[in-house]
Amino acid sequence: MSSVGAAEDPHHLAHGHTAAARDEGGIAPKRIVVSYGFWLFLVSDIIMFSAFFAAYAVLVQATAGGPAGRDLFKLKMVAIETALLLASSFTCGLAVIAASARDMDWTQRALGATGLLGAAFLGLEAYEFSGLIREGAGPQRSAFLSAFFALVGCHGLHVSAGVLWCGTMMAQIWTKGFRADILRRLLCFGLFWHALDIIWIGVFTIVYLMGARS
Amino acid sequence: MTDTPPDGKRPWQNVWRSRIRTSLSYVDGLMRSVALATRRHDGVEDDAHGRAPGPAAALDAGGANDHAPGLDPVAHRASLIGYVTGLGLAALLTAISFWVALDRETFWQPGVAVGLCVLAAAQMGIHLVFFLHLTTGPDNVNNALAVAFGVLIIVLFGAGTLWIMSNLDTMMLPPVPR
Repeated sequence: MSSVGAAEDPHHLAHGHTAAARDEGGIAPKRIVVSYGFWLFLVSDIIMFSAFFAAYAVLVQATAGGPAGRDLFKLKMVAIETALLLASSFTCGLAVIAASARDMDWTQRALGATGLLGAAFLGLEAYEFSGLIREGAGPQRSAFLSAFFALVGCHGLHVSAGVLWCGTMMAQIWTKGFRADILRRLLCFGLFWHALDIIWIGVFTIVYLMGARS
Repeated sequence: MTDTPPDGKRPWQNVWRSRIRTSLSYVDGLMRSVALATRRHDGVEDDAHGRAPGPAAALDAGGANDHAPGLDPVAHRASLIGYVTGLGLAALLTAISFWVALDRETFWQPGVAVGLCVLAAAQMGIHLVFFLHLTTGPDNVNNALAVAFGVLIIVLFGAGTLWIMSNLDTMMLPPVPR
């Protein structure tokens, strides 16, 4: 900026709006525009999650004589769930690398691994939820459990949507190839999947680790 | 040591040597294909509005020093090393979180909740930088501002909710006995 601007406009009369600066300020590449729009969606989604977190934090003591977090949470299962999501984030990154290398086999393998790890996470979560409901600790037991099922279940629904999207991306890449628009969709899928892992960090810290201690 | 071969290495050493060499060649192949992809990307811009070379490129080179680790600054493509680093750091922070939460003797217990929050925030930062490639570089500053605004809303929302609700809870009259 400074070197180019100084050469054309030594007294800074244009306040940085030199020809070169205008050139850079033209229409941004579509990849940048698309990812900005998707970032705005992710931020809105995370703000929605913050409402669920706030509701949970307010209601965590309201157990209505029922079981509290320390009676219910099995941290070994939570650790496995965390590892599954982290590994799937990594394989999702591998898929993006393989797609930029235009390597169909590795893209499909990495996306398949991402979807399978996500499905394994969902399986564990469904197992945990069904166990809680069988113990009589379902969402209707207390305000604490309503908030718990709403927050963790909402994250689970997002992961389900992500697994479906992952399968859709595999099919699209398989049939349409590495077209620019398909690659932008893959970029958005990657952002979505990594954002889910960020929300899970909040879930396992605030819900499970703090809940199991208090 | 009597069965040492003439090259001075024991047989198991040679086996491990060849194994390491084979696995290194896999890594090398992957890196080569990534390098090939970035080079191909340089030649053929897949966006409709490719940047013209010239003063803009010079500007870009000046301002683009701030790029995410593991992200090729020229081709804007992710590389393996960034994801491996992110995975390692995230796994380390998760392990520390579980340790801090479960070990009830090593740590000063009243401070554990704050410590867990700090660890979670650090891990979220690791994910943003290494997985979502959020930077403050010229083509990413809008995203960073959106995230900063989101953080502001979340802090106001969370802290405000807890403040108001705890206040209401304190002010509430005890239930009337029947």
